[in-house]
Amino acid sequence: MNNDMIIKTTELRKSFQRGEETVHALNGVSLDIKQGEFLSIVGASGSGKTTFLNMISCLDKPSSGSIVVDNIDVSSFPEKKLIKVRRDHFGFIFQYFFLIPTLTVSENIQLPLMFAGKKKTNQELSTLLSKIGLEKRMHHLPGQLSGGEMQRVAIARALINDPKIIIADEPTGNLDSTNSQLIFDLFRQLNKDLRVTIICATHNLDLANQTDRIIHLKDGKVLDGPVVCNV
Amino acid sequence: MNIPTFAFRSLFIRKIRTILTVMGVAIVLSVFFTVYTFSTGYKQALQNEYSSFGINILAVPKGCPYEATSLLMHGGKIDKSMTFEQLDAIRQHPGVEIVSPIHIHHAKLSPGAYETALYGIEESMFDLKSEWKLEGNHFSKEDAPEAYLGSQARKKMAIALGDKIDITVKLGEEEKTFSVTLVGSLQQTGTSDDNFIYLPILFIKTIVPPGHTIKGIAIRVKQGFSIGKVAEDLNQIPDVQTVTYKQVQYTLNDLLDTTTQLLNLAMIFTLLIGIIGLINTIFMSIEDRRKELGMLKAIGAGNKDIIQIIMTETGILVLVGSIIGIIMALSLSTTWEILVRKLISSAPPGQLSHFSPLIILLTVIVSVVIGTLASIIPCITATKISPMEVIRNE
Repeated sequence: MNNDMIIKTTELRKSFQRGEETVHALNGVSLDIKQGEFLSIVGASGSGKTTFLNMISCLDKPSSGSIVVDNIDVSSFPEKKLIKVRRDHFGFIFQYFFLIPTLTVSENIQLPLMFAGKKKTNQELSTLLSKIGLEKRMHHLPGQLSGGEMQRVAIARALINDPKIIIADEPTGNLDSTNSQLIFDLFRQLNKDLRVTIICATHNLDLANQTDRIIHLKDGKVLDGPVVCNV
Repeated sequence: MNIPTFAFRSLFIRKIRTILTVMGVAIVLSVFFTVYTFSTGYKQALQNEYSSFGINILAVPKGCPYEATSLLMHGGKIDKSMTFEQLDAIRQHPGVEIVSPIHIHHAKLSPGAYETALYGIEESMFDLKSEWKLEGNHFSKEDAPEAYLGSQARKKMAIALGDKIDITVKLGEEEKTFSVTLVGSLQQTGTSDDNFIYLPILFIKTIVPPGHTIKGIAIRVKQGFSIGKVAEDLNQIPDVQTVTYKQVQYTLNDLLDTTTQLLNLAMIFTLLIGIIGLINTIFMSIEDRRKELGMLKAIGAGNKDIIQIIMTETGILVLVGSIIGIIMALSLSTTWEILVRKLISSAPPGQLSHFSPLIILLTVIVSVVIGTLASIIPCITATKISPMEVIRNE
């Protein structure tokens, strides 16, 4: 694999049973994602966006095909090894933030460190918080923050372990257009400053158009050509 | 941040549920603690009372000897009576050292409108009950209209030596009132004796109808004689039945053991209900937090971490519950004791609940076992939660 490549999928397929029907969520997706790339995945509901994100972020195993993450073929890794790859390489951002309401901003951000058995100095923490513009909100509880601020906390949480890849699934799905734009601006900034790869599933074409590349999924396959449909 | 701190703070997300769960655990463990302290304390108090009894054999009228024994010891009504001929026959046995007849009757005393058991005794009772220490004078005559009071009874009546006491007793359908002079007071013994009034049995003989004077006979056996053999001999006297101190002790212990076993069974059911309730609460909590747990897995938590979080949360709940339960049980013990004494008039004197660090430790161990058992199934469920549940937004 090219040294520049952070994720490479080959003929990735995922099928599952729904009653008597076999659903093919992914139908042979082959994709190369470069280190430091900011790309968006678009497609209608049921197109396979989430399934694809689950596969590449080691949350789920493919039915067939291969996934290589940072030169490691994880396709047949057992769960324990997948957790390690997930911890070391990925940061996650979700639509609904999932902040722990009884923990402060600072404590929420440090959660991944607790599971990884790592520690950050206060200085490192302050630097990260200032990058996302929350240095003054460090000791606030999530309930005291706005939606946009909560998503910023979730971004900081995703970055705390210095991951090479950020997986964001509909990160602006719960925000208004102003906040959505602010979040995408922050993504762009982080992508530029930290050279972190950002893979973002979204329904919002305006935002998707601001990324380096758009992957359009339909019926579990990558569509070639420009995205014209309303996703 | 570490897992115990995280688990502790997570309990504050749903405060009411946490408080209710802790209170549920506290009540269950308080029941466990109370039952355990009372069953051991009651047995101990009974043992202490019998140990200080000083009587080897109690002769009672034929019937239920154990009931008669209990009534004689703690006060109560005995319908059947013994005769002076039977008393003489017992006295003639070469193996008996001290023989002391006893009368017992329910009485209302004035001043103070104090209701208690009236005992007719001989002075020989002082030889049998070594813990009896008299303040004041002994009876001037064997049939003098005089009385001794137990320490508690005197305190309740608030009277001085030399004062008159009016005693009302029920004889058949009629009530009879007579006066006696308080000549002596027994120092505190820590037994039921502290609550009673004592009159010369021969004075009682002039009050009650003929043939109703003696309700029981306390006997001490001479050194070198077998208590069992003497009791067997005395059983040959017509209409006399004997109970040895050991028999009473064994029987009451057996009875107490049976009661304790029933209580233990009830206790096991209570603990089971507690465990099921706790499993249900933890389950509900996990169902509510599926997305949160999925998120934790997505950001790097392994199954071991998730189990540790749930176990710690449960551990905190049961530990706090056990501490509150123990405090509840300790602060309610006096109330329970009053209630037990109201329900069981023959309850032995002294403290009925027996607290020790061992019982506290046992309660904490039980709480840990409850917590561990209750968290096993929810832990298994939690490990099966997929982080994909968080990612799957649609």
